[in-house]
Amino acid sequence: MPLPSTIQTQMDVFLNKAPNVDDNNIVDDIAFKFNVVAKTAAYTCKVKESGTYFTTEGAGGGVTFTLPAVANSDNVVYWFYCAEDYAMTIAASSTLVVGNNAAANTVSCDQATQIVGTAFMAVCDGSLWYVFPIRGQGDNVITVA
Amino acid sequence: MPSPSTRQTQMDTFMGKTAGLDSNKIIDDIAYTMRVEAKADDYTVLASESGTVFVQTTADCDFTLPTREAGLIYWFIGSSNHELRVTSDVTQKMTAFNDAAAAYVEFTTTGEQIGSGFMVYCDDGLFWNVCTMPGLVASTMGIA
Repeated sequence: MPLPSTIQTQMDVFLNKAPNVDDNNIVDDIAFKFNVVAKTAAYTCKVKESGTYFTTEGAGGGVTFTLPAVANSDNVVYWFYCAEDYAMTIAASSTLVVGNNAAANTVSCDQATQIVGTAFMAVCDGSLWYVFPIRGQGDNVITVA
Repeated sequence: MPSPSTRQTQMDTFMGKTAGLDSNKIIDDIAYTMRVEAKADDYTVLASESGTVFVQTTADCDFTLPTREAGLIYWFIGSSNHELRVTSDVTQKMTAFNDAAAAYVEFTTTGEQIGSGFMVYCDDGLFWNVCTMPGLVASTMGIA
């Protein structure tokens, strides 16, 4: 029986290893590229975009990314990268765990000269969004509200 | 002929693209979710949990890493005012903030723990390399 045309296959070896899961039932040495999407205006992320790396490349002003409802987002993850010198904000009503706040509404990189190069990874457990700040420089301040 | 039970499959398209490998033999535009595990006590992480995000919830959590194996990767984050520590399987096999032979990293100061985290992966020299992601600039990471 032929395989469906949409099946994800790895038709060759990568680093001389055949694609499969190992003895721990995990995929070894996965090789992938992000789905990279630039947004220049406010945007509401979709659950089906889990894994996407959003940037603000090309934006002429601040960009706010609104996360989907936690109830629909178990295990969903996004990456956000501020590529322009305008504020980038991640928003999720009272469900962000970030910067000494367990129920924040927003987290932003919005401090002058401390914006470009700052990033966030946000992952959801179905109840909250856990936000890992990745600062462009170690002393870059992020704003939590 | 049945597919092997261990085959990695993606039975639908993503962003209008069928799944497969590009000319570099890597998966393009990958769409994925992450395993998120809440813990309220000390825990010894398993190799089979590579890729997991561990969340410290309502009590101090000391996460002990598994036997080093190149490529293993984990995330850890605090969600309450309790300690978050990540300990190497053996001492002096962890690299983090200006220390090439650490035993553990931690956030222990009240008021600096929520939203502070680490990403830890094992390199091919069998060291645990720690990327520190403090919730606040002022969040003090402990290391020993």
